[in-house]
Amino acid sequence: MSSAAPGGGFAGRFGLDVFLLLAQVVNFLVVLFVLRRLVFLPLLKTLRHRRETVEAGLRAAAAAAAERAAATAERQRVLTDASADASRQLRAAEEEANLLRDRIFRTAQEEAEAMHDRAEHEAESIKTQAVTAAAQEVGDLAVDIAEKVLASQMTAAGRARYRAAALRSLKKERA
Amino acid sequence: MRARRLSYRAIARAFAEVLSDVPVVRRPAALRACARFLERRGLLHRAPAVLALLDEELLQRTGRQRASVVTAEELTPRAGEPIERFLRRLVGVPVSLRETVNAQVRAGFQADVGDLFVDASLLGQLQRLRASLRRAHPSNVAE
Repeated sequence: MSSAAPGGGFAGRFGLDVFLLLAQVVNFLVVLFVLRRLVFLPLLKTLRHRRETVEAGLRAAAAAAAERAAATAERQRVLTDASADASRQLRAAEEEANLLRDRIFRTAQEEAEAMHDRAEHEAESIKTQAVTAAAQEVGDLAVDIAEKVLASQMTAAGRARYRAAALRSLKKERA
Repeated sequence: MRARRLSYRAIARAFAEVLSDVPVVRRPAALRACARFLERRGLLHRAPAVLALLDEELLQRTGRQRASVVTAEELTPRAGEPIERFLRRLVGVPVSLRETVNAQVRAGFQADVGDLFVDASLLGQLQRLRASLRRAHPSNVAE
């Protein structure tokens, strides 16, 4: 190194130029300062910001997942409840429908039986009336015929015999 | 006292006195005299009423009871005698029959004596038979 101090000393012995070294140190510090100021700090800031963004995203994703899981669980619970409620209501409706059906059937059956009984009673009554009327007509007819036959065939001797028989009958009744 | 003022019952009592005093054989003549009496007094048209009262009076005097008998034909004395006997036993006193003929009776007789009514006629028997058939229950008839 031609720039080394010609005097002795440590720097001279190793060929160091103190000014040059200081200049280089100053340069280095300036470069370091400039780099730190213009590159490292913004880069670090950007990295930190990205990390925070990623972490926030991850947190939001986790929260969303948890929320979704909760929503899914809630939905499942609601569905289960709704299904159970629907089943319960369906069973209740079925039971009510069965009861109603049974009641309607029973009522209809009772009404049908009552109508049947009434019809039977009415038919029996009509039959009885018809039979009674027929019997009375037949009886009247028989008596009329007997009266006419007796009137046409009754002789004086017959009347005498009838009178005697009637008297005997009356005496027997008195006795 | 004029007969016109007498009541029919008084006239009937007088006739009864007359008839009970005369013998049986002279009773037709006595009845004719009674009829002439009524004619003279202008009461012949009331003879049925007087005779009815006379009948009552005679029955009362003899202790007999009137029995109205309805038959299909006129009864001979022989035919009426058993009826009279039966009715006498029935009411406990002698009875005098008053006969009425009604062909509707057909046969037998109907007697009305005091409070009793005896129906031994064919008409009554047929009426009872008719009533019995009318009362008959259908279940007994239908079989």
